[in-house]
Amino acid sequence: MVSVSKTVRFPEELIRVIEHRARQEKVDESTAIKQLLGLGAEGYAIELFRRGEITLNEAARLAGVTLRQMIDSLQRHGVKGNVRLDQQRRALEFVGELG
Amino acid sequence: MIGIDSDTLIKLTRAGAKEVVASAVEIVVSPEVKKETVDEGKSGGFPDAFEIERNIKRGLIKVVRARKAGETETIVRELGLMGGEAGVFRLFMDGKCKAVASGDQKFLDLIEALNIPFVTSSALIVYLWKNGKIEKDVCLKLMKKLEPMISDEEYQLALFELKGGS
Repeated sequence: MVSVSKTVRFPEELIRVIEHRARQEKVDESTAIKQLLGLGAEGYAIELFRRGEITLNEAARLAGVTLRQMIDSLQRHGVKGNVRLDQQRRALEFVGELG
Repeated sequence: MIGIDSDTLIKLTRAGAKEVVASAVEIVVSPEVKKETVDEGKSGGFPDAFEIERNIKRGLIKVVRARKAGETETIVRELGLMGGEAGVFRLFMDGKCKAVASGDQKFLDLIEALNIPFVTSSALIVYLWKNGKIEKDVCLKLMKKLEPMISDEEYQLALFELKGGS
């Protein structure tokens, strides 16, 4: 994986979270930041998928996991699926036409 | 003939419905879907990946490669389709399937805008019952197993269809 350097200024409340994570996980602050960003990316991907704004593949890519890991992650976070009522209605109409 | 995406294939497998569906409806998958469901699944230690592989080896599910036509590739690129979604879309555009099975809201919106017929995993189970391939009680059991993996809207409407048909 390619690493890219970025300079960021964190507000105090986020510094407290980073320090807490570093203590809790017994890692340095740089690792703690990466871990927290990873968790945030997963949550972000889950929320966008839940709202139907991204596909499952896009969600997996955003979260940096495989498609299968993403399916399990969504289920763990209570997102069973995101098919809307109107979409299911059309799917059922289609199978009705299949005879 | 239905082209199925990775999410739907995995969910039907986990619900124990894949073989029933595949014995009644011809199921085709793209090489991208095979990669996501079998290859990545096996390396990640997902047991259902081995089951899907067995079904492919037995010919119950066919892996079909679509031609990469210029117009199709332009749409894939412009819509930002990736992996199995792009794969199943290519299968339809190449005439390798008559409809697409998916449970992905955004993907369904995209293919509907292109007038591509679609089904969901639960609609496939309803189809089996409507065509006398399985009894209603079997259908309800399969639906119950699928319930933890599909949206409430999808589940409730499928159930309504089943109960309305009694």
